[in-house]
Amino acid sequence: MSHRRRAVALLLPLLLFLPVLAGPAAPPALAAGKTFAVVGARVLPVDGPPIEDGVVLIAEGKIVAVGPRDEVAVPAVAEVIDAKGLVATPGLIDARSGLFLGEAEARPSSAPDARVADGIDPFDPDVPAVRNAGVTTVFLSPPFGAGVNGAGAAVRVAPRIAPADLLRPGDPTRKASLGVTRRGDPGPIARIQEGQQIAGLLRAAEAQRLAREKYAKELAAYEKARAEYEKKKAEWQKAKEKDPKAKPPEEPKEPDEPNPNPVVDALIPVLERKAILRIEVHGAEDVLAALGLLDDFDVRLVLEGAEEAPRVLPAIAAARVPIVLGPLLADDPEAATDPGLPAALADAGIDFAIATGAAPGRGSRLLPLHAAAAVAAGLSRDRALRAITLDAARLSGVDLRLGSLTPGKDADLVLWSGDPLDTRSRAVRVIVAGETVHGERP
Amino acid sequence: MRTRILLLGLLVLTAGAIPEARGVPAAPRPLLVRAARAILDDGTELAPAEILVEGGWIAAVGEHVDAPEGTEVLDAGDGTIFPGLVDAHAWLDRARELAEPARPSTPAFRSVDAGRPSDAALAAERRSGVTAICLAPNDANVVGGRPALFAGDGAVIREELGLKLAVGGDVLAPGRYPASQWGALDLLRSDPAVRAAEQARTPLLIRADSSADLAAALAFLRERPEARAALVGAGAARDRVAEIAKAGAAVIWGPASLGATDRELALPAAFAAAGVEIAFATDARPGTLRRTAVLAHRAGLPRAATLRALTAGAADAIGAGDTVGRLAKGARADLVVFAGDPLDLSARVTHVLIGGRVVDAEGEEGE
Repeated sequence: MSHRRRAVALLLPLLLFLPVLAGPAAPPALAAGKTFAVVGARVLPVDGPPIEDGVVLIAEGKIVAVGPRDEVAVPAVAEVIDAKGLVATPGLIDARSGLFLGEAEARPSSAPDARVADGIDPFDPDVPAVRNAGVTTVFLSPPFGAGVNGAGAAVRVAPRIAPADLLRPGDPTRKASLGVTRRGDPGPIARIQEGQQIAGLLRAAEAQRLAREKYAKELAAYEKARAEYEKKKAEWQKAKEKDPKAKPPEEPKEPDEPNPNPVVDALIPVLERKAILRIEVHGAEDVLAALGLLDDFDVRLVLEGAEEAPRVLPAIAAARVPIVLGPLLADDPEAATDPGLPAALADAGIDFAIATGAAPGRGSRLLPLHAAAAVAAGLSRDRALRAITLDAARLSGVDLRLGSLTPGKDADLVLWSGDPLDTRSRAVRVIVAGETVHGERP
Repeated sequence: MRTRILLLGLLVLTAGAIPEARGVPAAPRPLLVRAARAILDDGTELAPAEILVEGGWIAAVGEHVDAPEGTEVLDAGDGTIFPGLVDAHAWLDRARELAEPARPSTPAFRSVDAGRPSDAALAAERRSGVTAICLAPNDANVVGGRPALFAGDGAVIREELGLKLAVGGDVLAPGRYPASQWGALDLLRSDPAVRAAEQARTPLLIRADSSADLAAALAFLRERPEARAALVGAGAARDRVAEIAKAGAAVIWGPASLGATDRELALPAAFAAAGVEIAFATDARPGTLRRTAVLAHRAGLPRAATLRALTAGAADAIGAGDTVGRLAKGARADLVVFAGDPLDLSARVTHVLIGGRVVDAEGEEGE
């Protein structure tokens, strides 16, 4: 990085903060670590029923308490944010976004060990628009490509993008695609080949995992034997002085470490169920092919896309596989998922997140509109809100930290002028990790 | 008893006779639509609201209206009655049929001759609350021909509605005439159909997107102070808002792209602030009218102006304000009921009435 670029890199976060810091009329910028209380809002915690006249207590960037005003004691040191007449929700999470990714990053990828986090542009000019719309976390999936496409990343839409803002540095998901490259390129052969490619990699990863397990055991045994050997060797050396014919102990053989293979190793966390395997599919037959992987592999499978899910609902429900849906709105009506699909999945008992899709740009800022379209097509409001908060966090592997207003979770929350899914409402204040990153003048 | 039925039948027949001549099928019985509230085209609210429909036309609007005996009642419960939305510039799925690109000018072309729009496109429009659609010639001709006003059920409300023109963009093709903006202006100045439309004061719908197109359109309008015009598109009008206001032209804006910046989406707000009449368009994206309005509203277009642009403003811009776009006595009984607010996209369309008849809003799925 040149000096100039570095200077920009250091300055930009400050510039992004300026609107919040400028002028006495702006709401106070809450310093990280400070204790404050959002008081009087209608609180929608998502993991529990709505709380009228609620309090959300925040300290050290974490949520400390959530409840009705008469049940949550606000400490004297806490700064109070009057939120009367507003609605508080968790920061919205777009479970599949194109923010931070340029056109180049949207090109097909077939590198299982690629990490989308490495392609992030923290200076994406669309960041403020997305954040100010109440979307505080986006999940970036690697672009589709035959077979396995790499590791996804959950990223905070914070004013300062730092490695710490990758919410799970350990790469919470791996992405694969099945039949996607087939679009406009007909035939089941490609699908079968891609399925075999994914299964082949998983099998190789399984073999590698077993080999590593075996190696770990052998290594432990070797280290024990080696210590014993050293002891015996010392004894023997002493004994040799008296009896030159004393037999030396047998030196244990060091086990061979399995050769590292980045492509195959990248999938081991999937088999250990530490990372989610997301498979992008569109056609019903592709959905079935993806579900078929569960016969052979015990993995946490999540589908992306799955527009034709209604044709295979029972199979998806039986496999208990959730879906990242969307976009429900698109400029080209053909490119949009049927807004009735979320309601159909809810009826069939299938979990889902609603997302804006992978197109690069500022699409994520319209996430609440996508959820509103699902409500208009029959989905309940509660479920729609969950699909852009807690369920989106789950399917992105970050639900331990985000997705609901729950004590212990990160203090990412949005104060809305009205119901968050009413498209007339605005995000009046956006708080990320306990810091106000967007606030309207009172 | 028998006489009463006969009399009633006679009444219905005579009531139906006149509207039928104007393109509205006769409704069998008067209908009273009742709901918790109605929002008029200018944003004022009635709560509760009752709308009496007779023979396909609105006969009375109020909190409570007197209905003749035998009136059928449609109780929309907690819904919100709103005038059916007016799509001021649409191709639905017929963009290809609505152009004759081999010729620069097709003044005698009529959209109504391009055939009935597909059921799928009409259903998409109805699902978003649209009940009147100005099906316009494509942008491929300097004088594109005559738009038609379709009802949301595919019936023709008006066979001819103004004249569609274009001064740039697709019409400028190298190797044919015109190849330049001034060539297009030359064609416009010399076309008798354009002159006739000006004299009849039927609206000229002029496609002008780029800054150069807008300059040409405004130059043309300066020469024709009598003409009634609406600029279609006007995407690059940021610096020409005052000029457009001065020319007295309306703007038919949209469809809004989901990738548009806040600055782009704030254009309708700037037009409204300058007093320019606004309408919304869907072009080749049926079913997106309400979304376009919501995006403009979120970017600063005031509520009343947004609601008007969806209804009476659009109707006035295309010269159909006497027929569609208003919840008022004498207007066509085209209305929609939302399960909430028209500008809240989470509020679905629960009922659609076209020409006084309840039409299936959900398309093939049924109510």
